[in-house]
Amino acid sequence: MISFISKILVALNSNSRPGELASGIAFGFCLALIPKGNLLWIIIFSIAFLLKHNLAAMLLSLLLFPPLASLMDPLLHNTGQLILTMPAFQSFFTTLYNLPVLPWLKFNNTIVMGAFLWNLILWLPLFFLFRQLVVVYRKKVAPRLAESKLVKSLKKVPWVSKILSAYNKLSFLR
Amino acid sequence: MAKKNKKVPKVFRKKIKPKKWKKKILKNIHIPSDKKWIEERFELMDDRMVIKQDLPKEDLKKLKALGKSIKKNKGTVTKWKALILLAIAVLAFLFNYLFKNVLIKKGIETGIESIFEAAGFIENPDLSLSKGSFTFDSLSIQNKDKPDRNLITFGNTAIRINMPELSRNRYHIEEITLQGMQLNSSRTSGDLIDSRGEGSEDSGTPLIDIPDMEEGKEQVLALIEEHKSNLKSLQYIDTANQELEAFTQRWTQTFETTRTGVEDSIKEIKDLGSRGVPSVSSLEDARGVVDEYRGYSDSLLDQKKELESLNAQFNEEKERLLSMKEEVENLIQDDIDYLGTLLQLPGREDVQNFISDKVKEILMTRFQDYYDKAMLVMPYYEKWNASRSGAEENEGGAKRLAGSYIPFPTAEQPRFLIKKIDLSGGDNYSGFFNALVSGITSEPDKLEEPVLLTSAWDNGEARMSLDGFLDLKEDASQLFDISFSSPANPADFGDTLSALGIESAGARLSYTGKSIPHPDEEGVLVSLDMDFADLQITLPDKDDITTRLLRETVAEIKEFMVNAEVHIDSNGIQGLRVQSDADKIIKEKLGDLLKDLPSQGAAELEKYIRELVASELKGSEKINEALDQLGLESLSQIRSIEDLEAQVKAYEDEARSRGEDLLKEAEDRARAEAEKLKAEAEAARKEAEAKAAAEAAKAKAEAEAAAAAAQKAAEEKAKEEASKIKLPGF
Repeated sequence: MISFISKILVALNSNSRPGELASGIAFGFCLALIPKGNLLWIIIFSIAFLLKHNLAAMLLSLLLFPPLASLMDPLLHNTGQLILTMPAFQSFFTTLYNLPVLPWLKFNNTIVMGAFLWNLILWLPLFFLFRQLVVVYRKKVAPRLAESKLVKSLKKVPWVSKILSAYNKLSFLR
Repeated sequence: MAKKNKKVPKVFRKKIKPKKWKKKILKNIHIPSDKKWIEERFELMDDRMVIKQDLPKEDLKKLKALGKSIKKNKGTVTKWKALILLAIAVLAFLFNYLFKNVLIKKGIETGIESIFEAAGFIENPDLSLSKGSFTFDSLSIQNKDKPDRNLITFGNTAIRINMPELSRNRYHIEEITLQGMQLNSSRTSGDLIDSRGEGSEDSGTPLIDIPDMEEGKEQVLALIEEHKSNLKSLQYIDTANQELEAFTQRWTQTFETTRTGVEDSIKEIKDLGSRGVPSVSSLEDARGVVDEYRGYSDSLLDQKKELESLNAQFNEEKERLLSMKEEVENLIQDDIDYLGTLLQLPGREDVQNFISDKVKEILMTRFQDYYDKAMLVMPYYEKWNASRSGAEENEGGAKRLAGSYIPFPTAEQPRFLIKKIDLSGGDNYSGFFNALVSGITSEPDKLEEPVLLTSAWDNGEARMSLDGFLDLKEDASQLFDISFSSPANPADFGDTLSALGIESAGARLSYTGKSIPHPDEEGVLVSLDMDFADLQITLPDKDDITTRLLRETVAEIKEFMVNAEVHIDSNGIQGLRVQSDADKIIKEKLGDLLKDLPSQGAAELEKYIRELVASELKGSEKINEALDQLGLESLSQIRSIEDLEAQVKAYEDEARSRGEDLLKEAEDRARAEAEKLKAEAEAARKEAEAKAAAEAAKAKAEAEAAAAAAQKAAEEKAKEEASKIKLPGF
């Protein structure tokens, strides 16, 4: 957890794209929302793994969001139920269900379907939200933080500077 | 300058147009301060953006870091992650060819060990994902309670799954072939499957397993054994045997001593005989010899009297001891009476439903056995179920809702289906079976046909076939219906009916049965119709009243039917009802017979007690023999003394005879002397008569006086001689 946080802090203050961090967090949220043990989760995880974004941000959000997902379960269930039982989609879902491999997605599960839909809905807003947050941080917070007395005095503390330099030297091992 | 420029990262060295410079460089710098810093380091020259010359070392360092981050930010896919996925794919491919089956073997064996808590062995497992098949040559699972036996073994086995259906999330097993299935086979080292096909523990159990019901004999023997210590006859025999043994020892010693005396006497008389009767020259000698012999004779007479007295005493005591046998007889009778009160023999009421009750016992045993065997599997099932639910609980670590699955219509195919199971196995002794099960599914409503079961079993003597279905549809009118039949089985009752005095009985048993759900309660109802035909009964070779009654009874039973109904549920056998048309015959005819059973029981009791007593008396019989021997010995000793007496008497007679001869000789001599003296006297008389013719009167008188005096003297002498040899009887 500390490692993830430090990596995220490094990414925040380095020249990485703001979108990398934002998509990492958005994908982590996505994976936390979808129940595990189905092909859909594996596919999203594989995509998220392959795409260039901040892995630490994704894994941290994957760890932090499940309690939120549990709270959202009734909402996910109701949404999934609503969609899956909509007469208009019955033939579509039936076709999907009878196609090879697709049943492994477990899309006929109300929670999976609900989570998938909410992911579709929330992914972009989350992405843009976190992206904007990173930009704002870099533009306004980071310079002020760097100039703050607290950070300056901390940097002067010998053991803090030593730890920071050691961390920087050993970061290649991670 | 050029040399210094070389230290600037390549991305900043190029001279590019401002628009492209903004797109390629400035857009890829996301820290505002860095962006400003880089703008300050570039200048416009000939419509190109060029990095400034002579930048300080710190600037070059920062440019290097920025160059790296610009390069890193390019693209959407990370190469090293793609390489990891590729490596995983390659490893999966290699695993499939190199380690898959080894790991499957290890995994299955470990799984078996963890589930069954016993060794498992699988030979040549082969999983083919492309064909959707799994095969192995053999599989055995050890019985944890009997390590030298297998719980179950399979020979060649193949499972084929429909892969296209699997991709539709439907598990359709096209065929499961399980060959060489054996239950409870023996485990051999190296080869864990008993290829000899022998050794089922039930191998000695015939199809119709009628338990040993020789209750009469068993009951009597058990009763005697239980109360053996209370039987007075045996205790008395024990005491008597001890007394007899002491008596025998004592008398053996006594007769041993007398035997020595007799032998001494024999030796003495033998010596006497070898010396012969001594020659006697006078009547005095003869008298001495006869007296000597009489001494021997008296001694022998005393010895004989002593022996006779001992013999009489011995016989008297022996008779007293032998009279104990009579006491034993009385005690045996007492013991029989005592045990008779304890012996519980079946009365008339016990044979009200004799055949039904016996069949009930058999069926109860058999169905209980089936139930117990089924229950053996239950712990494993419950364990699996518990671990499964536990795993499900663990899966939901974040305590999420499971949601619900909305069923969409599919092409009327169930999600789980086993189209066919072909099962075969068995062994030489208990027979071989083939079973075919088709249509096992999790969604029976999607299948027109219910689960079909057919099986055939053959052990060379008996055959059984089974047909049935298992309809698990929600609206099924009948959940299952399994019927089975087995024609013409040899049913050997052995000595099962010995309680009725029947030596052996056999029949040809045909049975049909049906198993259906209980119409009113939970569980299964099994109905069974058993036809016992061609009944052959062997009765004992006797002509007593019991056997005659029995013969009359069984003559009427050539064939009989037994109908049974068993209700069994998850808690075991809940009900068992058996009826037989033989009951009526048995009840009427055999009931009379059983009136006499108490007396039969008493006779049986007496027989076994007598056998027991006879074995106990064996010791006393030996003692009896010893006693008889002692009696004979005593008589023999007496006879020996009598022989000696006779012998001594012969010697005495001979001595007496010799004395008589001497006496006779002396008499003859005296008589001759008298005759001579008489003649001399006659001559003297005649001479005197001649000489003294004249002196007739005087001389005659003198002569007559002299003759008379001489005769008197001779007679007195002879008398004196004779009186000297005075023998008894003379």
